Amino acid sequence: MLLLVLLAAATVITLGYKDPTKKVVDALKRGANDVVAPLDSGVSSALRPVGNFIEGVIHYGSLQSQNAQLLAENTRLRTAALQAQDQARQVAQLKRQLGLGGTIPRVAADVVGASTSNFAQTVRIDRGLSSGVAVGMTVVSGDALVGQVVQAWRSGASVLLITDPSSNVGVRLGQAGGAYGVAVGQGAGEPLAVTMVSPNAKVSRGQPVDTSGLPNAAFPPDVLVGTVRSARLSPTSSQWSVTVDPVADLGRLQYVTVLEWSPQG
Amino acid sequence: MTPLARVRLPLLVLAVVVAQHSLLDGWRVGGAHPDALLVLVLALGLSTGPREGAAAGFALGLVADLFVDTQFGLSALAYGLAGLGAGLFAGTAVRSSWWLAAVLAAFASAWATLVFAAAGDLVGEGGLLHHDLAVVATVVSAGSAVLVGPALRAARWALAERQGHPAGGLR
Repeated sequence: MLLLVLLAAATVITLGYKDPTKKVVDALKRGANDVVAPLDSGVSSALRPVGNFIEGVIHYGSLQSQNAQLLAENTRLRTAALQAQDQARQVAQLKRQLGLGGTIPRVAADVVGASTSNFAQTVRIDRGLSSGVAVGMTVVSGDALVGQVVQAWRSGASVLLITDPSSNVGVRLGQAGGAYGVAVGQGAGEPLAVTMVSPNAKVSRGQPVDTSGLPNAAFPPDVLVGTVRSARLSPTSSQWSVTVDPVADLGRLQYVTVLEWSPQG
Repeated sequence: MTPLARVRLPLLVLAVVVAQHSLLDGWRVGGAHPDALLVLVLALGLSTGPREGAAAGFALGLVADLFVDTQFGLSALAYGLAGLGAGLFAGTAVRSSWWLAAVLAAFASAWATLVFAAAGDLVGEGGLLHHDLAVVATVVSAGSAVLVGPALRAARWALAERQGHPAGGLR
């Protein structure tokens, strides 16, 4: 029986790599998610008030002080939003004057769940193929990079976060002309590790890190990824050892935006 | 498997998948959450036997693989082995002693988690043997130990098993 399980699993895993079977598996995954997503959404909606009530009772004290903080923050953000609107108008005007059009279409989405796997940093969103969301598209929170769509079905999609160890993002450190590198995820709550940064580059703590936008990059250019947390260059090393704190609060995502941009353009 | 079990078992699997998505995925400790489908596999294994446990584990593993982004078949392997292991301990002694079932479920879950990570690493899934593996194994094991009691009752209902009588397997 043990041998049978091992053989069957090895067969399924091997077939999963082959193209015709892979397409069938992808179709099955989409179908399964299409069946479960509405049920999941219904159950979650029904249980949310109960969960919120319990959480409210448990955290009543801290919620009061949090409320006061949020009111102050709201005032500050309103002012910042007005300034940002003004700057956006100016940028749009300048782009028109310089003939620089081509903004990327966006789809707003709610984060409806965390990863079902304990081994992947992913979130599920409530917009999918029917809203124009497709595998490979970039996902941001505000203007900060969240990750990339890795699976999409009719009414939802799965987004691989940049903190997942299998995530690689081509980045540029500092402003235009800055050094390039690859930001690799190191797990939830951990900073990204940036590799391949030339020892001749100027790297400093707090420096902004954006997507590189190099040819064939998986992400559009100039999307904010994070800021440099630490940078070290030992005399014997052939590259900087850099860590980056993501700007997006990946542990508390509620709303995200999907950029309808794919590596193929 | 009886005609009644053929209806109840898929319903139970669907209910467990929805419960995992809408409830358990959000109950995280150290970034990890319990695995309800694995608990159901263990309960089915403990209620039937090694052969049926392995078959149920493999089938439910394929179902689990539909909802994750790792290589298709990895969960089938881990759940199949967990179901087989749980089935070896199937019997009245385990089924009438909740603490023994809880201990077995905890060990089998830790084993399944390690198998999943090691096999994933072997087939080129990056980052599965990462530093949180101990946390994941602990949380999944603890969750299984707590949930295996209700899961055993649900498995007996799904298999249309009468109290005190063996299920007769999943054949």
